[in-house]
Amino acid sequence: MDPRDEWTPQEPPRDFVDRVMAEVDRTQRPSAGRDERRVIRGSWRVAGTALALGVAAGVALAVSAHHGGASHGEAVVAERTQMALGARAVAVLEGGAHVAWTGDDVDQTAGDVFYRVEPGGAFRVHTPAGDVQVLGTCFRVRVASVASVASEGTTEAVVNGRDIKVGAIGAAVAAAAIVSVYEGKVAVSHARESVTLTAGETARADGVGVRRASADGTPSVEASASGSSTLMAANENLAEQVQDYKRRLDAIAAQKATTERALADAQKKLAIAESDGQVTAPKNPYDLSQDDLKDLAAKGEVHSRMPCLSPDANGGSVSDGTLAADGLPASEAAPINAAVAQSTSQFWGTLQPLCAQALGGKSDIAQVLGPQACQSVVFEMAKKNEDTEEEIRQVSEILAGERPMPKNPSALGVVGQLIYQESGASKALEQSLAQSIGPDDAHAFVYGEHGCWSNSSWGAGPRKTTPGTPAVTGTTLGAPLPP
Amino acid sequence: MMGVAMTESERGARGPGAAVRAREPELDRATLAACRAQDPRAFRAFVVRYQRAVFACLSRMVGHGPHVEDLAQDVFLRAFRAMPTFDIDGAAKPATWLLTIATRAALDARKRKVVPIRPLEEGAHVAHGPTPEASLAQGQLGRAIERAAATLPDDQRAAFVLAEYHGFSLAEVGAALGTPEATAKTRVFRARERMRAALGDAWKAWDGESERSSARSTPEET
Repeated sequence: MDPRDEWTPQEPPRDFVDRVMAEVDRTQRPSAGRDERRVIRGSWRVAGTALALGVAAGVALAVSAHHGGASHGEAVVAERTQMALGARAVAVLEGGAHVAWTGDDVDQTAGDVFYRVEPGGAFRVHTPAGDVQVLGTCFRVRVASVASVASEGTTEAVVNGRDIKVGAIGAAVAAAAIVSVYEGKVAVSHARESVTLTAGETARADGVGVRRASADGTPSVEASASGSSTLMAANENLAEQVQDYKRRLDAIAAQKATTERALADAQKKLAIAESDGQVTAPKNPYDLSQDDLKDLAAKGEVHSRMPCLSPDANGGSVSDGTLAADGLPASEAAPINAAVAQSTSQFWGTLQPLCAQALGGKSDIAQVLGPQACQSVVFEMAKKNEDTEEEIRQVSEILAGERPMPKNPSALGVVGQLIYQESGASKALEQSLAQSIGPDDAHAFVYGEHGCWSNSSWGAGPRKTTPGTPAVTGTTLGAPLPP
Repeated sequence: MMGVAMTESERGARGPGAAVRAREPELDRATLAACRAQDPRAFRAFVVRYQRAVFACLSRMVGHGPHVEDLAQDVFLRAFRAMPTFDIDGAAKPATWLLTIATRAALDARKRKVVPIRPLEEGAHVAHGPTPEASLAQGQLGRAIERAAATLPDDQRAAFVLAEYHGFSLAEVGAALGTPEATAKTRVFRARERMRAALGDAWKAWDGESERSSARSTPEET
């Protein structure tokens, strides 16, 4: 006999398994704990339906179904942890965060959590300070004591009377929720108030209401008269404005689609006329010659075409039907899919570090957000800090051969780097494919009418100064580019 | 009777008593996947499978008593909550992962004094009984081991229990205790030295078992 076995361990009692499972069942019950919290915040109400609207226009989102966590559960984490919440959501919990979820309802009582929610029905995050409702988007919710939020929020701002008011009234509620949106739209509600946020916006909900805020949670001056009739009216006006802008965008999108169809028809007719009645395929407007690039540079424009990005940056597979429609054999699916995956991966390789940088160095969160949301994050950040119009002009001039590519790409700025990468994607893909399926088929695929492509046009308008003159010296753009 | 025949390199990489302890097979992948999705039925199988190991680990770390049941229940609840983060394809086996949770819970409880110190240091079960030497003289080897282990500092006792009774490698001991492998090695070494000093000839039999154990089997991981 092994002498170790002489030290007999304590045996579990017979009913131990049942006791554990009873406790598991108790913690798993959907209403466990939640009813109490609902009583506490009984005055909160769930916001009306929010609209999920893709922000990165022209980029198709193919939702993958790789998620699939437990339908209900609870988690308290000591360090950053990524987990699936139900079938649609992936969350990144920072240390100290606490969530309990049942289906698409999440109670977040503490901590800092990023959410990425796939499109579907309403997904709600309940916090002690208010509720968040989305249909499918990326956002972050930070729950903290009012004292800590107030102190964080005023570290870089002058404490004013309103801040003091927030702290004093908030003490009764003892919590505040800071909601930041990276993609789509999110409704943040509190009592009778609701604020709809779009990408790049932040709101704060606490004891005095819900209102827009700066990224650090400091209430915006113009919207911080929360709880007053002024704010109620302002929110109503805001909601109307949002609806109005959406109607306008929808109208523009419809008009754009109509114009594109008319353009395609006209190009087809022109091609027929120029070829004495012989039908030839019209040139894709994104299949740009050097002369085209020079024309665009004169107008301060950049056109780009690249395969659609999926949320997980793997790209989508090209179907046999798409290939057939472009006159390509199904046997070319494998090399085409490989080249498309490589193209999207290369773009993600550029985008992901920039996104992580915009998120304060959190590369794992950038990975969770995925390409589409990251584009929004990067563009929103860049709009605030960079002269994006100048970056677009510089890229157009580089593409036209009027300006050399800077040795350090970061000199192009964040938006400049992304646009430059996008603008070269179609030619790079065509060249890559030409080696495996031949130049004609490669061209037919990349500039064909079928499949899922992201076509973008970036316009800054003509430069007012002489081309090549260093016009930008901002800190984010670094040193002026060489003429 | 389950058997594990280890190679020399495997024995070298694991704790001193690792070769002695043969393990029951881990839960199958499908059950673990269901556990990860927090399926109650699968988790019940998980508790059934690992409850003895958890009780053995805890009772040797914090002493016998009703507090072990409370602690074990807490360990399984922690495991249930953390299940979605368990990497089925990762290096850590479920037993290693779970006993790491148990070890930390035990050390934390000892640190916060939420479990009685008495059973290990002055409880009737141990301290009011004979010394290790006296226990040995009376042929009570188990009592002697328990008494000797009770004199070890918490971190050394945890390292000793994991390495000698649960087949943890030194790296796994380090991971469980949150220390570098070298520190874990030192703790196991020192614990063994103190046990050797307390148990005398009985320890030689212990070492002899370790030497012979590479090709033998034991019925249960306890």
